[in-house]
Amino acid sequence: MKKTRWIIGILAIAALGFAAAQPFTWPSKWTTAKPGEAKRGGTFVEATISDFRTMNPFLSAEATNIPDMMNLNLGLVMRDPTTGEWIPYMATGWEISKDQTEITFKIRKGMKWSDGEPITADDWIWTYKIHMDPDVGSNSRDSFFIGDSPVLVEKIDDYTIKFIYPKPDAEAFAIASFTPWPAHVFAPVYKAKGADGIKGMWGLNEDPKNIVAFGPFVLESYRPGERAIFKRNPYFGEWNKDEAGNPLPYLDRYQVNIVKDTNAELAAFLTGEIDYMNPSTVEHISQIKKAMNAGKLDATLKVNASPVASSQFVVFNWNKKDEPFKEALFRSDKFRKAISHIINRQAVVEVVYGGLGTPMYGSVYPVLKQWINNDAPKYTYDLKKAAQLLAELGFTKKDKEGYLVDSQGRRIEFNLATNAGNAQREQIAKLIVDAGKKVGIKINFRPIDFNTLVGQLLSKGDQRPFDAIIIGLTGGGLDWPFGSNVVPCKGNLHMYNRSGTCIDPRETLMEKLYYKGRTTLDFKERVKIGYRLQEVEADLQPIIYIAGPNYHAAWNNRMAGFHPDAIISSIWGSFELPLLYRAK
Amino acid sequence: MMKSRTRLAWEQFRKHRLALIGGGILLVLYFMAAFAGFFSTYDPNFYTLTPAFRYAPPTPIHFRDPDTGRLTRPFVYRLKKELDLNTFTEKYTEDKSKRYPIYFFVRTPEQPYTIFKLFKSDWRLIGLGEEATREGARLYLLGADNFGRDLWSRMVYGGQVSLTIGIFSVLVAMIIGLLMGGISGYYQGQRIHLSLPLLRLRTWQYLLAPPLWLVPFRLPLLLLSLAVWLGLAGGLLYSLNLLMALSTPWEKAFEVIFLGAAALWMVLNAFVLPFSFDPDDMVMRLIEILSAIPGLFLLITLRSVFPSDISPLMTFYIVVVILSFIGWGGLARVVRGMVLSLRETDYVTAAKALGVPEFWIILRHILPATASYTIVYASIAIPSFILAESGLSFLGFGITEPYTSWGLLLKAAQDGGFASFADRPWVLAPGFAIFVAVLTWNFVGDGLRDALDPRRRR
Amino acid sequence: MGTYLLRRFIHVIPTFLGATFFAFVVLQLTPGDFLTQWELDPKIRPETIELLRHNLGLDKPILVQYLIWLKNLFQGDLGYSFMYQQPVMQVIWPRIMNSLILVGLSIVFLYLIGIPVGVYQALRPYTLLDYIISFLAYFGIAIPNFFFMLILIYILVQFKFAYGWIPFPIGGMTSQGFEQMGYWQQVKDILWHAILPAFVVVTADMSSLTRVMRGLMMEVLGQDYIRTARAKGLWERSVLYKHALRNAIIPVIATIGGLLPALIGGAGLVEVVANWPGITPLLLDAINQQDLYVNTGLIALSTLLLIIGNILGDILLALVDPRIRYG
Repeated sequence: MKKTRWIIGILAIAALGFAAAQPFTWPSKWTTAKPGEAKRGGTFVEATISDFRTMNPFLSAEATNIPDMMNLNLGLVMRDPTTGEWIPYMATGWEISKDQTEITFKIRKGMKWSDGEPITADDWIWTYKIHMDPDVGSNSRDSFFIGDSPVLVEKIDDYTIKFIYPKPDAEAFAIASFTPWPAHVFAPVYKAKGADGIKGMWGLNEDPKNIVAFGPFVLESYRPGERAIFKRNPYFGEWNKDEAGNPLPYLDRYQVNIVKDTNAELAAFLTGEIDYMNPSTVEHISQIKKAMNAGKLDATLKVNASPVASSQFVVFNWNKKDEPFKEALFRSDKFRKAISHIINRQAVVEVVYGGLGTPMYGSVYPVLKQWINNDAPKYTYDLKKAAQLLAELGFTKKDKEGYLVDSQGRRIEFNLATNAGNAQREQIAKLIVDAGKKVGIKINFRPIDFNTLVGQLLSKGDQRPFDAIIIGLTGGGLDWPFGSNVVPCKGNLHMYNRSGTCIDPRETLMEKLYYKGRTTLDFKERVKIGYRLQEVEADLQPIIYIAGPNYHAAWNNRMAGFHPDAIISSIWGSFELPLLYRAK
Repeated sequence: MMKSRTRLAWEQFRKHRLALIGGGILLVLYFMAAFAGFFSTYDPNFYTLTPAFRYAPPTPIHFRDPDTGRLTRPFVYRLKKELDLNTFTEKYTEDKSKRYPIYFFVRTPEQPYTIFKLFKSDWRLIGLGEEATREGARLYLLGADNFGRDLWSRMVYGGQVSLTIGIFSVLVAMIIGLLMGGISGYYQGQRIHLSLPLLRLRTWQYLLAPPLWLVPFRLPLLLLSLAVWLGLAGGLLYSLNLLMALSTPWEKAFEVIFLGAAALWMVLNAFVLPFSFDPDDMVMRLIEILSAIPGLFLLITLRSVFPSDISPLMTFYIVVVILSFIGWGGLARVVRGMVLSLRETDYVTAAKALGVPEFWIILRHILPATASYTIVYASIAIPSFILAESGLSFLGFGITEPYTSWGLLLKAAQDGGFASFADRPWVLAPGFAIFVAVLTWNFVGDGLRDALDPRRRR
Repeated sequence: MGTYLLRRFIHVIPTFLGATFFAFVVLQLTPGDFLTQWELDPKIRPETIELLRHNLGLDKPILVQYLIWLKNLFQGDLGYSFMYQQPVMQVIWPRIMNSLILVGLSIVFLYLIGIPVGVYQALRPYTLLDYIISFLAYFGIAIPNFFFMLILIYILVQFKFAYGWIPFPIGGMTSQGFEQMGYWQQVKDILWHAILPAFVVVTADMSSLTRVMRGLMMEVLGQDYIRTARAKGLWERSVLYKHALRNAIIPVIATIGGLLPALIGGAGLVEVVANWPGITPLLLDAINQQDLYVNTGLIALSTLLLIIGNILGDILLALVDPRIRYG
């Protein structure tokens, strides 16, 4: 009730035609710096492993890209890293309709693009329209769909915008949080030349002067394969303040060097050429630590801050019409539980990740702590239990070579594939193969080309060409951490069974729970459904999860304003760019 | 005459001191690789998880009795692992409660090996014996990898791949190169017919020529010619049709003219034009094409063209084939040049006059004359193939686990980055092995060149 | 000479068509295409991928794709990069220029150091210095250059730790603040960055050139006409440079043409380790991601340069060696 009155108040101001600035205050709890402590000026230098592909926000598909570096994925709403809750950012508030299918956002006033134009509802509308045009080929298009029905976005007035969802959805805010781009730049081209016009815009050769954004930094220069330099956007400070009321960001420049080799990145960090890095291996961490201990590098190192949001797992193929023996085996949860018992996750963490990793037992990433159901059963490394489960399946005798056979003399033997050249997965496979041999399972390791592997994994029908594959997935939301095309039986990433129909009743149950959770808006209720889903999943073991590496961060102490330790993680990162400052 | 030439070359070679030393080292290396089981201390894939020996350093070997201080049979202590949480590196300390003597000619029945896949054995040159292994004592001459596998044993086994990949690749490249170079040089100027035009008299003269019993075998050739040329024309017209849908009218006109003309030419080949080409031109164009495409590109793409759903050992052979596929051009070019002049020599002309089959002439008279160059080529090319293998492994396209090669081991060291230099320099040993192999092959190559090239004798 | 050149240029056509078509076929034979990597993304629907595949023309027969590419090539268009969503030429041109700097500098090193050292060795054979140089030359051949580069970077880091400054930058092509520099400063900056990787790139070639040069020079010095010249009482310097070197250098010059495609082929894996924004990192990306037209575009250019290089080599040879005539 209170909120509604507030919105009415804002409307009254708008009616007067007086666009007062409504600054957003970046809370001090997001940084280790005290209010007013930060100094102004200076450059922050980071590195990225792959070169940029485009400056065009509608075409960028890679993980680190120039548009995101300018606008930081900010939108109408953002998440508070300390609580994980959605808070208004470019909006000042919202109203949810009774049937929970419409959200109306009030857009913050006084926001401006880096060329001085005001930011209004049109920017969202046109950004949405262009993303939705299939001919543009935007990577974000699918995020505007729930199932097969699109989310609609409507302009009410210049500072009010309405999202209409086909049904209540747990990810409604995530969908509405997309980043707007300047309509005054893109709309005229889109109206005149359509999708082709958009595709021709903002390539890597574009003059940085023509690039417009609203975020803390805008592109100043770019050298292919070398670096992109961003300069402070003065208009950002007009509506983004710290708690002391100072305009943000503090830094003058933000620089991203392109470093293709992780050893070169380490060298750059050790010699102080870059200010920040996420060391990925225990070797890199030990080198940084040694340089720090020897007094040659003044830096802060956060080891094991959190697990990363990615998974490595084994998936068995349930669709092998031609080999009924194998098909029956792979469809048996006892067999899959036995396999889970032979996977020594602790050894994987020790050998593959040098001790800095986290074992995984279910599809929810360990970093999503509030979602993890610790009571779901775990099938940990235990060769005796594995042998027992296999005996229950009738594999009691061993043949001449020491492999388990059933009463008809059939051996447990299968191919285990992964993409060649991925050293970590090859090592995981080796540990599984060797443990399998101890129990009496013959596992043939087959490293194959990545694209072939994906082709096999995603093939459809009753007869698919692989036995078992080790692969990984990344991504997964905080709102509902189960994949829309992973859990439902028709999903194209429902990797173990792609016959198009659910085979096991537990599969059907998981699908049901998935949709139930997705349409439940109450968070606590949804978590309960998630817990239930994990229990069913653990019992079915459709995919056998292994382990993942941990997230580490290191920064040079001439920079300050990083996250407090509690919120340094693979989900929230180590800093809020506008709050970083140069201490020395 | 041949003998004296060989002896002359050998005498020259013996004068080249570096070549002799290099040859000696190479013999030792190849001998060790051949009997890798005997020279390794453990099975290359042997590891235990309890106790684990991740990146254990070389085991210190003690020669003096700690009690008496006298020289004694060399022995080692068991290593204990601790994780140093300050620097995140493993620290190993010696557990001095028990000594484990090092034996020569030990038997390891739990880790048998085969020699050339034929003979089974479990004798090893040195080791601690099975009992000590079970108790958790290890003899790491060059430390261990992240699994705790013995690096020395892996290196000895890796030599089997790294040392032979060069030889196999060169052999294959030599076969292709000699054949192509020989054909190119010998048949230069003689056109090969690739079509049998249906409406030409000469076609029928050829097809129906005596002996008559061959006629039924020749007729399918005519059908083949028709099928190939008409098929090509059809394919072209089909794509022309598809292309038309995507073109502006102006482009359409061009496409019809060019592709139509090409299709028409193919149809004509089927019926009236006797299509022929100079094999020399063909081979030379082929070499040009291969050398025009960046080697890195060929290596990577060809690697993924091959079916990869096969045992890791097959990847070894695939790598061999790819390397030689890229490498034969240079040899073929030189051989062609030599053959061009050789075919004008008296003894070839004489053989021709005697009616010796051409294939036999090339094989028996011409190619042997290029032998001295070919030998030198081989000895120079082998080291470059060894280096190419390490590059391929660097990119992750080489041989894979559980097999190993020096390139793969070096990549592991490179992945470790600076830690490999600072914390465990012994993991660089495979790099040193590559270095030595390439160096010694070059010594031998230089020696051979000096020995076989009369102008270089001294 | 004219007809010879004409004939050579006519030969260009089948080679060019063959190389590009071969590349096309090989690329299409490899499983999957540019869009395969997207299929594992939980956010993207399979219908979207099919649509994109159609839009990119990847669902057409190989020959048709090739003919379309060829047609566009005649209009000066090398195609469109899937990765970068812009014309291939715009993507590869800056990379080619960067590689050109590195390889160009390494070629300068090659001849500026390789030839004099080889000649010096030939003049004082079997001395200690000759042996030392020979050994260093072998060293250069025997070490994989990507590994050599890593060793140098490690040494640089240790140098920085020990003395607080570094004689050469650690990777990259330009320093921070490059944009604000004057023209000559920029040139200096790039050269400063290029010296180390260029040296690493050229070690193997330089080593073999030194050895070849030493051999050739020794051979020429043993010829009768040199003895005659000396006997005539000509100045030793004149004998060496006017007669001996000029003859010894002929085969070396013939190889210059072959270096031209190497100029755009890039400096190989050294570029990756030294973080040089050249053609190799791009090529590796393009191959991994199966960016069809970037690959074929690069191959088309390198084919052209190879052919031009060979022809140039022949012309150069004719200019230096009066015995060679082309009819």
